[in-house]
Amino acid sequence: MLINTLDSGFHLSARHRQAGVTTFYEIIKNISTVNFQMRGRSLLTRLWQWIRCGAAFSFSIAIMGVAVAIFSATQLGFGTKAEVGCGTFPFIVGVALAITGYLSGISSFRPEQKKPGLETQQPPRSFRRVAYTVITYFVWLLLTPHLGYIPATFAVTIAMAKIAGLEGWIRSIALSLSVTFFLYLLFEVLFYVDLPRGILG
Amino acid sequence: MMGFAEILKGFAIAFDPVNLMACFVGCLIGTVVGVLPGLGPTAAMALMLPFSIQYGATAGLILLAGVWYGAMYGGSTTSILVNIPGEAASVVTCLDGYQMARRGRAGAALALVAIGSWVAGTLALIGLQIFAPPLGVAALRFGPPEYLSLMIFSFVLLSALIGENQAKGILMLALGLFLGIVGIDPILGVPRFTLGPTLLMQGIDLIAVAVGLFGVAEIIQVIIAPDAPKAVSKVRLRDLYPNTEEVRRSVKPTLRGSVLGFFMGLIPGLSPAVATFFSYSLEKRLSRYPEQFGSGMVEGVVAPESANNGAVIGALLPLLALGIPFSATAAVLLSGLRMHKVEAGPMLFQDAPDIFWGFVAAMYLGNLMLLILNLPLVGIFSRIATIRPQVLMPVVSILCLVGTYSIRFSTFDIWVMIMAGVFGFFCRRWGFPVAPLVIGMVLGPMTENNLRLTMQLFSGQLLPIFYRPVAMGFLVSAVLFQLFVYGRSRKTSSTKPVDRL
Repeated sequence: MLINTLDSGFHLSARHRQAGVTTFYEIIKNISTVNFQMRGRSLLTRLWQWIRCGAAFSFSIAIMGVAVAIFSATQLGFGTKAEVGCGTFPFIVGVALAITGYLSGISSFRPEQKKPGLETQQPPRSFRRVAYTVITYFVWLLLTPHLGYIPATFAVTIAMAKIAGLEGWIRSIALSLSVTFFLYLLFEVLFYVDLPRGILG
Repeated sequence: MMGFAEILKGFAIAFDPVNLMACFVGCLIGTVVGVLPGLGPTAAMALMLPFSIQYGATAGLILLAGVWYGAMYGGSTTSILVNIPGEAASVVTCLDGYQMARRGRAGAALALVAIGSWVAGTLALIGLQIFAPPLGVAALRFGPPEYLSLMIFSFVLLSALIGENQAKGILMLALGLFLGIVGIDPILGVPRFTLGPTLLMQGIDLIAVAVGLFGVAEIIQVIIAPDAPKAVSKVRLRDLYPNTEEVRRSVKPTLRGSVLGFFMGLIPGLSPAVATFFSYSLEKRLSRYPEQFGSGMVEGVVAPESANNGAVIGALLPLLALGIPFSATAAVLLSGLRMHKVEAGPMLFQDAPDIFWGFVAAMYLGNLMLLILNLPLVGIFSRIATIRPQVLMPVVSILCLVGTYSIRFSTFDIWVMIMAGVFGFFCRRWGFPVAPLVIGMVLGPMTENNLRLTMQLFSGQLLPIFYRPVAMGFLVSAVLFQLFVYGRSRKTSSTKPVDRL
């Protein structure tokens, strides 16, 4: 694993050398200026760019790795050489997370690499749909213990169909009825899986 | 022939009505999953776990493998008829398959692919039948040092072969290893990273993570950019015959694809999709007319499809004989086995030979079922691919929710699934491969356990590991492979693998 990470480091240097950058120090120095032409932009814009290219994610994981390593070393303990403690393996994993998080964060700024997140601009409406979808998942989670899975599934499927853009209420209700009936057959009749029945129990 | 009596016994088990039914249901669901673009085999297998429990260990395993295997068959149908790959392993089939359909040879392409997949599946099963028991016997001599070095070797291969960026591959693998060890330490009983008294005591459920990463993330992707359904090339049953020339040209690519796929399935981290790319590339190099690839060459359709079927069964060999999953789908299958209290690995052949041989025999039957199922019902399956995302996504979402909940009846698992889904979506956008995370979650506890046992065995010294030939072999192979990858990446750093095809 160490060899892998070292390799990534050398690999990165070679690539940046091709782009006219010679040392790691210069890469870091040029990140904000060469690759994304961020000169003069606000800190917030830079942060947004870091999030969009995945660098922020990588660096967050690196920080998490450091935290895992410190927690493992201080709170869990390494044990002895022969009786390895429960902190040894998490410590190794934490170190690996820190190193690879750092390296992949740096590699997100590669000049020749196109990031899918930067290529495609999705309309905000699409992201709103995603947010609504995730919210409906949570609604199902909240409704199921109280109402039971049948009413919850029926209501949430209608909502999801509308979020996905299915035209007409009749179609959405028909789809929802079919899905709920199918689930009932599958879980209750065929496989006797004991799901919460709520008000229908 | 090796295992002849056992395989006969296996057929007796496979012909049990419950096992036959499980095989049929698995193949059918797998084919539908292969056809649908919103749900891959990994998520589908994870969702089938609660149902597999109802079937029992042997039938449950047959059901899950049928889903995996059926997905490989189903993917080709829509690739050829609609130019939509149902799953990643069928992307290459679109290149020549759809062109054949446009030239009016869709029926021939479908028939050749179905026959090729059947041949590949059967050959790979023979390979599994021959190699798995001896490998299992050899693995009985493996101790913790051998397993530890095998895992280190697997990590090197996984990180190098998954994705384009090795650092991102290792990052996701390490993240998986970390998530795998969350919970109570199995030896000392100490809670680790549990964030409170009860929340994560039982650990993070692999299935919830897999459904999130491979199911919910895909749903989000489709919701953001729904593709309009395409027109389907109509195929009637009487069209499903290839001419003599097409049959003649497909024989060798089918055999080459089968063998290549089987052996590529043995390599950690290589999904069947990679085997299809290699197979296509090989055929293009061997062909007298490489410039015609992409315009409807039979070789470009049958070879990748044979390779993906071979690779699926090849991946079962390390899973069943060593108990180590080399792909995310195999990790889910292993999780399913554990839910049935069956431990994959060398002891499987001693403790539960009926399960192994019944499973192998059922795979032979499933292979045949898929051939029979796919040809006459090709029209119906291709129409499934044209279901609008507005209808499909709510259905898949509900299946993910109810399916994940029904495994442990835990609302926390649903939280995990949703978070894994959102996480997986962003990982895809930022180019982080998610498969190593799932594999890491399985390998994490195994690696830690073997590390501890090795250190105990050698009284805290690591040097004696080099005195054990098998362990030494794995470690040297890992170093050599890494050096090879490093040297190669320096040479070809400017071109992508797909471009080189």
